[in-house]
Amino acid sequence: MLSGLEKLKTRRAWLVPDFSIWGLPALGETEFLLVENVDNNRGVFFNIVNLTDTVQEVAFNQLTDHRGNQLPAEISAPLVIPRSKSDVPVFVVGTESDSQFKIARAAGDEKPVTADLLVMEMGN
Amino acid sequence: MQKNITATSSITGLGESLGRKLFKVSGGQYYDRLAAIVQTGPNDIKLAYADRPYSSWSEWQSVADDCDEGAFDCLMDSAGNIHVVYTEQTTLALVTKKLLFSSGGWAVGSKVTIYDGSGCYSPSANIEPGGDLWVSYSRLISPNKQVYAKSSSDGGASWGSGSSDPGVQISATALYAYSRVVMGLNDIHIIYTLGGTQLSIRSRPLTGGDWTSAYTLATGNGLTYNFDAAVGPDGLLAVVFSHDDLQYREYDGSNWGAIVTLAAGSKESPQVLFRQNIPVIVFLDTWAGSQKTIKYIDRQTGVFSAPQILDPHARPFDGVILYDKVSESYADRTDQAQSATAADVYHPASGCLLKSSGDIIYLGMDDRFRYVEFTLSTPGGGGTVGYSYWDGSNWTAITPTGDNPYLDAAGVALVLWSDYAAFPVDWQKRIVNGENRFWVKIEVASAYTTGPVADRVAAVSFIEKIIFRR
Repeated sequence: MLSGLEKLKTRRAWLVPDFSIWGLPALGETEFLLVENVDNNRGVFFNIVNLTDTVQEVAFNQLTDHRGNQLPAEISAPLVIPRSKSDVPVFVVGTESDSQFKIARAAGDEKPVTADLLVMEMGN
Repeated sequence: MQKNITATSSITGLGESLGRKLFKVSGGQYYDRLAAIVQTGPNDIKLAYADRPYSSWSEWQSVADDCDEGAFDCLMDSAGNIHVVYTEQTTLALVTKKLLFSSGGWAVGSKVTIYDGSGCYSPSANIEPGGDLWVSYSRLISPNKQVYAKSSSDGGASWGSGSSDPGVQISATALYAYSRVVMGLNDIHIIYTLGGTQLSIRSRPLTGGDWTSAYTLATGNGLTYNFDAAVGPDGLLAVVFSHDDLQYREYDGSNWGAIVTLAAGSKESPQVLFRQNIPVIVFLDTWAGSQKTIKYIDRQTGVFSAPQILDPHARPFDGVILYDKVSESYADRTDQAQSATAADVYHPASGCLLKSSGDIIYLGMDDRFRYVEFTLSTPGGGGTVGYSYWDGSNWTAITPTGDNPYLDAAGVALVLWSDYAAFPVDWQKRIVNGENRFWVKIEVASAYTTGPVADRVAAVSFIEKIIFRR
């Protein structure tokens, strides 16, 4: 149950206009075998790795809302809703943490994409 | 996650050509189960499997004990059965075995001869969407070879008109020939190199008909088995090949694009993967001498990216810090450890990596690492060192595997941990000389009479071959 003050503090919302999104989605994991030779002793290894690490990590306190206010460093149970200002889709990758989120644009274009972000504090 | 799954006494381990050796069950109770097929000895092919997170593998099961060195390829059909195609060691006949998928394991079937009329080399196997199996191989017509192709419409029980039938001749004659069978949406493609100087393709509709004339994709020197091809979900046929440079060409169903140079210099084990419709090229790149890094290039932005290192645990160090006990000073030699300049990795106060009791080499990375290789211009003499990692409270001693841990030979290759699964769970980052990293500390235990000096230091090992699941 939220107290009156906590109720006021939750469900804050910020509009962050014209945010530049350069991140690209990870291409997923890939598995492979390799043969390593150390001093003529050969070993076969299985490995699994993620392709691309160009997902864009954004801390909330890096953002400035439409009124010119810096967002707080910590937001309780945040929800980030991006709206692309072009025909290139943008999306949040994974789940937002209280301090940051990951965002990416669809593959296919070299240029960053401009989007408006609606950041909402849902509260616990 | 990296797991050491077996030793091998085979020269190639994964075969000479860049075929398929790693498969995933695509449905049912055993969904996502991976099967690896490896040449564990000069004549032995074995299979093991694992489930997520793939840290525990089954016992190795014998598939064949009569395989010629490096001459095998495999495919998996829609039911999870694996077909292994290989050259028999003594007869050089091309044979196959079907590994029947049942109750989560694979039962090895009896051997079927595909062709035994002359020596067969470098097989490549694939399967049509309708289930017909295809094999291309290099047929020896001494002293030269020709690429041939042969198919089976009954799941590998019989091939063409029998074991004396070599199949369809695909290529002209040359001393060297290597091929790859690739399935398109509407066509079967055989891509091959001939004489080390030419990369060509011939195709045929899946519905049957004639093979197209040979189309030359590239010419140059050193065109051997270092090529690969794949078809994306939209039908794009991508071919990657290495000779003087790593290059790429693609066919959109109507036209071949121009040759694109992806990376300068010859590369090894190039392979094409598709992620949705995005081509991703993986390959081995020489870092120094025989040391190699695994790199990849993708076309997410519409143009190919610069090559990036794929494995964050196997690369040059982020920090190489030398501590001189006498002067009580640190020297950052990270750039020198990565450069090709000879004899430039030393502490200015001592003129060497370490010498006196208490001198230290700190090797650090933002990711944990399991291997270190020193290339020494001056090997050390007369001293000893101890190795340790930071467990959050103390430096905990470790004993690396490998010759010359006391840095007393020109090349020192040391395995700190057998694989990534063996990383100590308590290995933590620590600040050394202002840098917060995962460190391994190498400290002089007894003083050297001759202190070692290095050309390079890196967590990059000698990787001979990579085979991606594709």
